[in-house]
Amino acid sequence: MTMAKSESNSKPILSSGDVHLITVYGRIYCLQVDREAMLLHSYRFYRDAVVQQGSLPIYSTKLSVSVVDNVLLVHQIDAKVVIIYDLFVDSRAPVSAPLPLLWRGYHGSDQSSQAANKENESSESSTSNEILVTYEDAWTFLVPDLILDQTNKVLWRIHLDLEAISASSSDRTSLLEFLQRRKLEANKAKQLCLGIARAIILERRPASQVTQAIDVLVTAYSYSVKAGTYKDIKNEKTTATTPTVGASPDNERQRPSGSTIDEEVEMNLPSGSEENMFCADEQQESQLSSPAISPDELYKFVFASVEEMMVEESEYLVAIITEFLRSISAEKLKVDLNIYVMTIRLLAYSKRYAELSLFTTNKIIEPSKEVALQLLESGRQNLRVRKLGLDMLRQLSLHHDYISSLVQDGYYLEALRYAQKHKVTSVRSSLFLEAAFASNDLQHLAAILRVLSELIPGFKETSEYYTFYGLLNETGSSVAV
Amino acid sequence: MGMASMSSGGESFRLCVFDLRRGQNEGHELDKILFFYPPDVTFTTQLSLIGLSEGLITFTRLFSPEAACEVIEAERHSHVFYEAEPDIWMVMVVEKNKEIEATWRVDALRRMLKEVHSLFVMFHGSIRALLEKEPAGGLIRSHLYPFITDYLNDFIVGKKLQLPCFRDTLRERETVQMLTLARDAALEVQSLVGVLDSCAGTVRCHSVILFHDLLVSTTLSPDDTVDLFTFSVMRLTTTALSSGTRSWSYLRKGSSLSQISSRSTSAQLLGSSDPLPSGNGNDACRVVRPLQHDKWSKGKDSFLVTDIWGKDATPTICLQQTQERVYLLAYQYKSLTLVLLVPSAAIVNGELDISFVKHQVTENASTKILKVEEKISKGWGGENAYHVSGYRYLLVDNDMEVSRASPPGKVATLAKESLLALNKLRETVDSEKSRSSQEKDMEICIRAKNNAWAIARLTRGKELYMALEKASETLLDATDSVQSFSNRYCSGAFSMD
Repeated sequence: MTMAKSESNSKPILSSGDVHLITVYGRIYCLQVDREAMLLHSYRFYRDAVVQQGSLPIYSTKLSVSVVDNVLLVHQIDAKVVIIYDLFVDSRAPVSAPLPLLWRGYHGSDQSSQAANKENESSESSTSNEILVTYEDAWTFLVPDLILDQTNKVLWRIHLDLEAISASSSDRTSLLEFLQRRKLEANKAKQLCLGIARAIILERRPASQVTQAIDVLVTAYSYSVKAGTYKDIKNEKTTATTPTVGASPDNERQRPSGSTIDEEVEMNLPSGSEENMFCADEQQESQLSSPAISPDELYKFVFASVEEMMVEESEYLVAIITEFLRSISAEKLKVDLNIYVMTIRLLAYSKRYAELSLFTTNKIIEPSKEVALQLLESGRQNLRVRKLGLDMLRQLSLHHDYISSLVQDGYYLEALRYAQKHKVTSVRSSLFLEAAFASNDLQHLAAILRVLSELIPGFKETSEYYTFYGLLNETGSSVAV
Repeated sequence: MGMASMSSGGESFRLCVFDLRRGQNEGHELDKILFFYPPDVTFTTQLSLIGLSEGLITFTRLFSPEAACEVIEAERHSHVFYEAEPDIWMVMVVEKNKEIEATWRVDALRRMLKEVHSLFVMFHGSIRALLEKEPAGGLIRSHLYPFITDYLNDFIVGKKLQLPCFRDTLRERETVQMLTLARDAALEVQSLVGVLDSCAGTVRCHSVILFHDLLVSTTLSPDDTVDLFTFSVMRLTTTALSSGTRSWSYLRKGSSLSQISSRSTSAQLLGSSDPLPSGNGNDACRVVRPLQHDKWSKGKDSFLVTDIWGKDATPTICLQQTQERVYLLAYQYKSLTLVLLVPSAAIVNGELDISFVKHQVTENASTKILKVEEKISKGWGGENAYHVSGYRYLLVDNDMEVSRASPPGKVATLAKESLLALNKLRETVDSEKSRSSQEKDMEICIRAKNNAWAIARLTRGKELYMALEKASETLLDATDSVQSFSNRYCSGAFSMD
């Protein structure tokens, strides 16, 4: 080990308090305090070697370290602050600005038997704890996250206040990466991530920044699915009672399998306790094993929830959604098809029909019945878009909807021909007949009557047949049916 | 000079533009004429053609005020009419001769007129607007003259104008040819488009991306896309840049002259041979010739540069949909051509802001451009990517103004009889279509002299034309072939029973 020397002949002295062994992310590090250089050197222990990993600056001669949830806390005791590092990444930058320690859940020295919580928190949210002094001389730091306070006769345990950390960190992307690696309070980390994602969109941060943030979340999710920490459970029991928080306007259009909600729980949980995490977040907090956010959740709690506020800036939102789709497609993931419905709505709102048709023909918007219906709906202002919807219905072989829409557009002959070819009898026969009658074309009416009587067994006995047959004869046409 | 001497032999081709609202008094008839090609014919000849056209327009308007005369088939000539703007007409006269090669389709010729007009509008604004700007007409004449002449030069092969004939029947002018993208490539492209959108700060930029001569993406309306696509394929894409062989005598002269005095070249060069009493030339305003050949080249920063608009000046074009003027920046990486349109609102400090936008593009988009190019070229099937063996086809989507056809090399293998039959068939369909404004479904199959089938199917704005030389047996076989083509390549759009 190296140590800076103040004078050339003075020997460096290494005291036992200057060396700390820590374990983060399953890796073993040795940290060594170098007071001359004011650096904290780190070495990683491999099976067969010890490799120096770089040094962190220190701002106090008295120093101690703790590890909570794989995060390295460097207590700058003189300054009474903690600097937080996430050694997962190569960067030696602290996760956030230095934060003070804060008491929480302390009920006086008489209850000293119970270990109280102590948290890292920013000062403004601190409650009245003026009796206690942080970083007393009588403190003994115990590995990994305990502090023995002999003055007050308590054993403190250090917790991370993720909210405070995210509030005092400005780099959103690395903050998201940091939060995505938190395991102890996975649910809180997850909620914070969703909040950050929403906020950066609502703040209209440059698309490149938002893209990076989304990439982080999607990659983390994809990784946790591969690693098995994220478990996608289709919850069958709570379907009827579970409301969805942050519901989208198209809530009624749930996924085809019913209103199942993806949730994540620790794998060893008894199955009875499975509940929607967003409803019972307080109890479930500890059950989440990973803060990973599935694309569906991103859609529901980020995109759908900001849609209403962003309508006027739909171009920006579409750009973000495109990046999101690119990101999940690169990870070979799927997303709730409602995001496509939403994209169509946004593009149509800003009258970007050219792009809408490119999105559809290139299948960036994946075809589905819901998408096709939205195209028909948005196509009320633009015939081209409506045709895209019709084409999609046909390609999906949704005969009934295709035929009904064709009739609606006045193409009743084409519709009937299609019905005849595909033996579709579910479309009300009166639709064709009324359309033909309205267009005042008796020949068409006669033809339709004939086709329908071949197509639908027993059609000649229906009152409809009599009505229109009668109409045909009344008008004195010579057209034979 | 150059122009006149090289225009194809005298009487065989004429093109004129005139304004019915002008020159209504005797003695002022010349005012009507805005453009005449070839330029060296006498005024009497010019006036007699325009007089005849005007007479026919007035006469046919009695019966059909909305759509007057479309075509006159005289014994020796076809006159193709196009009302480019209200009361501004373009008439093209082509000589009929016994040569079989001279079999045109009138609508294909009319589409030439439409094309040159919409390109003109894209660069210079409408003819009417220029007339209103300078009622004497000198301004519009000095603009139309070089523009249409430059346009026609593209059709000159050897010393003759080669108009679109029956051999081009499986091609549709004024449409866009698209590249089919896989979903992941399309997402990369859209991601790039998103970056390009915001290259000028808060004002949104439009963009058009091409790969070789195929459209990859656009944010413009179909009409604007067609115009910009046409122009890009004519002058900007890699193929356009590399085909220096296009320029013959006239242009060589033109370009060498313009090097001497680039400020007044066009106006003088053309003005000297311009017999019209336009009296411009000394109007001082330099006439820009956007369709000049061999004027674009790739700069060091991968942006395409030209001196057509003056030294270091960035071209501007006018968008039909929004009527706004935008700066045109073209960036090229390998076979990928990006056309970025920057609204003039974003350009306050002229070239300074332009170079800022350029910088933004290189800064923010270049990695994405690399990625897109790589993705696209990996998935590209080459020149014959859209060839379907056994079929020679043309697929037109009138809604999107998009077409796709068998590659020209493959179409060339068709027998002349098949092409003639198909041309005839298209002519029939054209006249059917012009009869009613409503879209209708239609199916026509005809048998050519060589027993090939020429087939047309129209359904709700989509058209499919096909020549089948091998399915020579029965009509049933032919329709079956069309059916399976429709199912496989048009997602069943043309499936009938």
